[in-house]
Amino acid sequence: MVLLMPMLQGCLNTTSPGEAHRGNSGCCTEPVFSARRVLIDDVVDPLEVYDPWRSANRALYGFNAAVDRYALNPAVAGYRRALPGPVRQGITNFFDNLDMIRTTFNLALQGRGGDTGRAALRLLTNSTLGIGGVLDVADWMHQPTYNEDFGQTLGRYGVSPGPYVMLPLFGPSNLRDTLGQVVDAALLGFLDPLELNGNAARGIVYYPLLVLDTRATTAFQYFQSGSPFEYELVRKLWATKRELDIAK
Amino acid sequence: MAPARFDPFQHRVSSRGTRRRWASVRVATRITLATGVALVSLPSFADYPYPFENAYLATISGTPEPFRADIPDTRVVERQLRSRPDFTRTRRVPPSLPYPDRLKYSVLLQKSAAPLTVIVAGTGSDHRSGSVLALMRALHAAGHHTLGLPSPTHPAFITAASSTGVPGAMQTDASDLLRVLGQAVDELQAEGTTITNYNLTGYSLGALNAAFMAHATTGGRTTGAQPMPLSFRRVLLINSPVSLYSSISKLDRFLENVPGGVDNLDQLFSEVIERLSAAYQRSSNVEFTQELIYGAFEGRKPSQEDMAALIGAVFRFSAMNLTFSADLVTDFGFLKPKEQRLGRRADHGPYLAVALRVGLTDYFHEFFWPEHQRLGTPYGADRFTFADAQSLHGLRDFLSSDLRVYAVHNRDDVILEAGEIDFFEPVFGNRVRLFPRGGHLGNLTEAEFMAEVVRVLTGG
Repeated sequence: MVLLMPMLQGCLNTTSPGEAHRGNSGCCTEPVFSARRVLIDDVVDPLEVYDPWRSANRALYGFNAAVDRYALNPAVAGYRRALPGPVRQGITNFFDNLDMIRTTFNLALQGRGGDTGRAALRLLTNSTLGIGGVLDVADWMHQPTYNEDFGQTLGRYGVSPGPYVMLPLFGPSNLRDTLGQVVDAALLGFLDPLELNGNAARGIVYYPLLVLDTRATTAFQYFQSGSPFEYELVRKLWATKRELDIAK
Repeated sequence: MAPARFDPFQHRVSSRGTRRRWASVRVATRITLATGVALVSLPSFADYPYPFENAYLATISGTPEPFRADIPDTRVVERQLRSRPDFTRTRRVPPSLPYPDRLKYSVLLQKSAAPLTVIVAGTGSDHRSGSVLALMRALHAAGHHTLGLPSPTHPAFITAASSTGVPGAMQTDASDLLRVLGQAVDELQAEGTTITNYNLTGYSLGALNAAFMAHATTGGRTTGAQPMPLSFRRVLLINSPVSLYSSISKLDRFLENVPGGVDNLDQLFSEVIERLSAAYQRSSNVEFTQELIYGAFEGRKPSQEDMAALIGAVFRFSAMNLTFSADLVTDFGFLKPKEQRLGRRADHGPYLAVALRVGLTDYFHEFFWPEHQRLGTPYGADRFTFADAQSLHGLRDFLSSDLRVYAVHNRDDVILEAGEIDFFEPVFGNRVRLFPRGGHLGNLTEAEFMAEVVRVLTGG
């Protein structure tokens, strides 16, 4: 059986392959290997991810790559030159410890009592003995670590990921996890452990450091995968990673 | 302190504890596994301390920690050529192909005058792939300047440096590589690097590239018609294919033999992707290379067929990047309809499902051969002689008489057809060393293997 998958016959630079097929597909000859020739009926594309907004997502992917290239990467290079490794590690630890707040909160929401307690202990240990989180004392004590966010909590309760979303600056996400990020951010804003609200001076230090640390500890670089299918591969890898995070 | 590890999708790497435990579990598993395997294979273990008897497992698993060569973690510098070749100005590469028009390569330089060793990457890999970096670092530690080049089959090379856009023709690829190398060397020398002599190596397809580059610099013809100033003091072919066509057809067949038949291909890819995602979180490698993909299966014991299929799948990912990039650069109409323009944000997704199912033998017969016929590339009146021209057979006289060319290989390399390994000893004589096992590059970083590589390239 041949699947009359119209994708490869139309002009793909139009928004939807389906549209291209129904519409003016007369622009080009069929390629040597077309979907018609290669794909069979009941095949499930192993790299498929629900991505109805891919046109906008692709644009944002390019935008993020440009921000990386012209702003974040140079800034991170400067950050690495300016601060020695142990200092940067302290900053990483500090933000990790801050994240332990949302992790604890979400573990509690997921009804994982024991884990919640251990995460809270870790938060407590590092916030006190670790001097506000700069030292990862809990790790030295071999305390377990967790990383949970509200997107995972929703996923655990069966909320489906929804459409893939490429967030400006933040990168790959989906509708569910975007909502999750908003909730997590609101939680931190509400608790305000660093008393950033109404304290502009702290904000001027906090936010740039957060951005620099985040970028410095993320090895991913746009358009370095060596694949012209990078957008699709990253999308699939990210979606699968989230599934695994939730199943964990 | 643990260095920041790779977690592309988290805002921040935050589970260092988990990772550290992972690492220790992995090390423990490796040691246990290695010791176990070593014990059951004591007789042959005595001659060569590489643990995996199974060639597929070796190819997938690489070298376990205790057997690894001591290679320093030197920081490799990425550079970019200052100009691009003229032929890239006239062709219309779709803007959706995200590669720079000037080629990137990597270097590790000594502070003073030293020999230079050039390393050509294997199929679909570039100058930052793990194997290139390992070779660069080991040879740098041995006192050489080192320079890593991407494979001519890498999309970035196809876009910025391939004169035909259809890689795989060894003479043409050699002249493209030599042109790039000549330019890189000129730029390094202009910046004050002193090079006392030139050495060349490559692994897998890169080894075949190196053989043709060496041949081209000794008066062998290249299609580039450019005089080549370099001459190599030593050339080492690491796990080279004998015939490119037989290797690609063997690798294509790995995927046809997926357990449960071709219908299970998608399930295999899904599994690869799933494991890849898990590995992606704990790898510092950014490229979708075979190291990363194989790393995904680390610590797991798949069946023989599963392992062959996995190797085939890894290879297929490279093939799909190659064929699609070549199609876009040449507008041949292989996967994309001819003359269809792809804009900056064009969706490549619809081609992916098809590209995943097209092998390199398909590429050879329905794209590579017709396109080279059209271009009038010499070396072969028909597709059979053309296929045969992409092999060490045609270089036999050169390889047996030129005493600067060496080879290292494994007797159980999975990319060779049965009997092909017997090509080496009669031709290379005492300039080849065959290791009893290691699969395809599984033992590249094994201490004895790497010592042999360094010995040949730095030796007198």
